[in-house]
Amino acid sequence: MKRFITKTFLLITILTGIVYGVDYLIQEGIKTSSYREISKWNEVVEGGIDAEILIVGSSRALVHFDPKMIEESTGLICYNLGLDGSKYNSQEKVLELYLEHNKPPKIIYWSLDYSSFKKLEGIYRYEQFIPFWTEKSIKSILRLNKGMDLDYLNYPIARFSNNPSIKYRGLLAYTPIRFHEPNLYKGFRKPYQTWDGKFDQLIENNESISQGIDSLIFNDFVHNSIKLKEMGIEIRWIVSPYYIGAQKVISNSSDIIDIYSDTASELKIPFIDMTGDSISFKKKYFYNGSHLNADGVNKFSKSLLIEE
Amino acid sequence: MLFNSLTFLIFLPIVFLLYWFVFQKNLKLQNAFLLLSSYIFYGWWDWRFLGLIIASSAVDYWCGLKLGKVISTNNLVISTEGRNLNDDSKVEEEISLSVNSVRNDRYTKSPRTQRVVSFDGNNGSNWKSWFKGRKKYLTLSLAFNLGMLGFFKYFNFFIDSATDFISLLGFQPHISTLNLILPVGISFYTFQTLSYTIDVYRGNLKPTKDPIAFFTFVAFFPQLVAGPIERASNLLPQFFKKRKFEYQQGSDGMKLILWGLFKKMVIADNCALVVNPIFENYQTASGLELMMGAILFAFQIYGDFSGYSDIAIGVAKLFGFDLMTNFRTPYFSRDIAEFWRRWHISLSTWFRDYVYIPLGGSRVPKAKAIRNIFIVFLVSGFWHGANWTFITWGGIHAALFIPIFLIGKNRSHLHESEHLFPSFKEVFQMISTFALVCISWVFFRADTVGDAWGYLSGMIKHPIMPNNFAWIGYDIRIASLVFLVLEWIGRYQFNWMKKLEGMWFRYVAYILTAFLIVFWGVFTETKEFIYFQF
Repeated sequence: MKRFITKTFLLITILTGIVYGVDYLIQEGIKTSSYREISKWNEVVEGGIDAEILIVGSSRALVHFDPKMIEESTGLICYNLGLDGSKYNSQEKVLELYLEHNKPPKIIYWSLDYSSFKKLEGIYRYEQFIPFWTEKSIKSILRLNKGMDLDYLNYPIARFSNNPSIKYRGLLAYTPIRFHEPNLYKGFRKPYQTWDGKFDQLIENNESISQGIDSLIFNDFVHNSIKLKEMGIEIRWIVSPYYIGAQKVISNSSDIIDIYSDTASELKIPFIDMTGDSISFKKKYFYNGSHLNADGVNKFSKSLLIEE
Repeated sequence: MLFNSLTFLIFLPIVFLLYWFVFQKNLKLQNAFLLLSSYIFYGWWDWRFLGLIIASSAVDYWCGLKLGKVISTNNLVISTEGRNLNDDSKVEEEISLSVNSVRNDRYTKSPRTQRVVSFDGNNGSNWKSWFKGRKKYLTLSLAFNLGMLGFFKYFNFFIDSATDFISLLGFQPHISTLNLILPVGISFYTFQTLSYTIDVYRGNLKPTKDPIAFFTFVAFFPQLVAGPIERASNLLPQFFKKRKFEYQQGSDGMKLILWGLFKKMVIADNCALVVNPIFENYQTASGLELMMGAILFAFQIYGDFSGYSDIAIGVAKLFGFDLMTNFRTPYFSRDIAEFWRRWHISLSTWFRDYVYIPLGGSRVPKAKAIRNIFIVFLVSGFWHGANWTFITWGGIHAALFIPIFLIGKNRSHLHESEHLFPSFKEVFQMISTFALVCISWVFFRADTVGDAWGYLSGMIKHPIMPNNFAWIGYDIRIASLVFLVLEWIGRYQFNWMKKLEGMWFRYVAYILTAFLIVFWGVFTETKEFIYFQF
C-alpha cells in the first residue's frame, strides 16, 4: 500500500507541476499573440493606457474608429475598446474593466448599432477573455454566456479547452512559428477586407429583419451614460455608416435612430447619426452591409472629425 | 456523480483511504462502508431514486432466501421450507460445484447445458406445486424488477405507440403520457440483481444470508450506473472474501482508470463536438460529412462506453474487486459475430445465458434458432431505450448475424489476429465489418427511424464533395490515430499500458497520457456518459 500511495503521489505531483507549467506558458504566450482582441485586453489589464478619447462599441467600433487619425486630428490620446460581436451588456463590462485599470477618459465615443440593445445569448469568441479570467469584470463578461459553467476555469489548461487553437497559439508564441494576423493598433483593427457578397444574397432573397430594443438594457445604458457624465466624462453617441441596402433590410431602422436621437436630446448628450451620410450610399466603402472597409474608414473618420 | 467530475476526484481518494485504513479490519464493516459510499455516489445524482435500488435489492434478497429453502431434484420440485440449506452438505456441495463451474467456464458450453436443464426442470410439475415452489419467487422477482423497468423506461413508449396505432385505425385517442424521469442505471442494476435470482433459482448459486453483502453487490458504485452488468456468481463471492490490498491490482486499476478517462474525455467528448452538429443538421450536410459523422459516432460511443467500463473495472480493482471485461477491441472484429463477442460483453452474455439459451439457443431446428437470434437482438435493442431506432438497430444486427450463423461461420474468429500487422484479407474484413457497424450506429444515434433513413440516404444523394475538414480539429485527428494504434497494440491485454516495460518508459507514458487528457480533453461542459440514458 505504501509503495502504491508513494508512487501515485509522486506521479500526481509531477503531473501537476507539468500541467501548471504548461498552463502558465499558454496563458502568458497567448497574451502577446494577435488572436482576436486578446492583446487589447492585455493592454487594458496592464494599465497605463490613460486615453483621453475612448471608443466603446461592437465590431463596428472596432473597425470604424481609427485612433491614429483621431489623435492626429484632435491631439488627444485615443484608444479603441471595440469588442467584436458584442452588445451593450458586454461593452459595459469591458468599459468597467478599462476604468478599473486606467484613468477615466475625457471623452467616450459610444458607437451604437441597430442591435446594440438586444438581449445577449452568448459572448462571441469568449476564449479571448480566459487568460484574464481572474479579473472581476472579465468573470462578469463570461457569466453573460448563457449556461456557461465557470468552475472549469479553475482547472489549468482545461480552461482553454473550448478553443484548442488557443493552446497551440499560446505555446507557439515562444517559437518563430507564430500565427500571422493583422495586429491591433491601439485597439483598432484595420478592415482590409473587400465586399464579401453575403449581403447581396440577403437582398436577393428579399429578406427583412426587425431589430428590437430591450427596454431594461436600454435603460441601463441611459443610467450608465448619466453616471459617466456625472464622473465628468463627455459622452457622444455615434451611429457610424451602414450601407443603405442594410438600412433597408432593417425594417425598423429609422425607429431605432429616432429612439436614440430623442433620448440623447433629453439627456443632452451629443448624438451623431452618420447613417444618412453620403458614405452610406456607396458600396465601394463597405466590405459588408454594416462594416466599412479601409477606404470607408478613412472617409468616415474625416467626416466624423469635421462633425466634431 | 460522474467519473469525469471534480466531485468524483475528491470522493474516490476519501473512500479509498477510509476503506483501506479505517475499515479494513472488519469485513462486514468494510462492506457496509462500501454500501454507504455507493448510495452517496448514486444519491449525488438524485437521492429520491435510491428507494428503487433499495427496493429492488430487498425484493431479490428476500426471493433469494426463499428460493434457497426450495431445492430441485431432477424434474421434481421439493419444498424445503424451514430447512437450513447450509446444514445440507449434499446441496452445499452441489451448489458450490455449480458456482465453480460457472466461474471457470463462463464462456464454455458447460454452464449452458446446465442452465438449459435447470430451466426446463419444472415441466412435469403441476401448477399448484409449481407455484408453491421456486417459480413463485422467481416470478415475483421478475415481475418486480421488470415491472419497475417497464414503468420508468417503457411506459411512455407503449402509450405513444398504442396511440399511434389507434390513430392509424382512424380513431382519435386521448391518452396522456406521464412525465417520468428515467432513473440512471436502472437497466443495469435490475439486470444484475435479476441474474442473482435466476442463478439461485437454477441452483447455480447459493443464496446469501448477508443483506449488507447483497445490497452492496447490487449498488457497488464503480459499476452501478453503466455496468459491466456483473453476475452474482462472479461478484457476490468477492464480498465474502477478506480483501487485502495488492500493489499489482491497484496499479492495474490506475492504468485502466487513466486509459478510460482518455477514451472518454479525449476521444468520445471531442468526437461528440463534431458528431452532434452533423446529426442535428444532417439535411444540409454533404455526403462526406455524413460519412465522417457516422464514423466519428462509432468512435464516440466506443470511447464513451468502453471508457466508462475501463474506469469502473479500474476503480473496482482499487477496492480489491475484479469485474468482468466488457469490451475487447470490437472495431478490430472480422465479422459481426466476432463483434458481438467483443462489444458490451456483459450484456450480450447476459442475454445469451438468460434469454437465448432458455429459448433453446442454437440447438433447435434452424427456423427456431433464427427466431431466437432475432428475439435476442431485438430485445437487446429494446433494452437500450424505448425507441424504434434501438429496435431497428437490434434488427439490423440480427439480419447481419443470421447469414453468418446459417453458413456456420459464427465462431470462426474466436481469437484476435496474432500478427503485428493484419493481412490484407483481415484488413478488408475489419473495414467491412466496421462499415456495417457504422451504418447500424446511425439508427442508434438518430432521433427517429425516419431521421436515420434520411441520414443514410443523404450519404448517397448529396454529392460527396471534397470537403475542407478544418472543422474537425487537429486534436481529434491526432488523438484518434494515437488511440487506434494503442488499441491495436493492446488488443491482447485489453490495455496497452500493460505491455510497457522499463520503469522510466512506463512513467513517462502514464504522465503523458494524463497530460493529454488535460490538454486534449473537453471540459467546457460536463459530458455525461451516453449509456447513462439506458
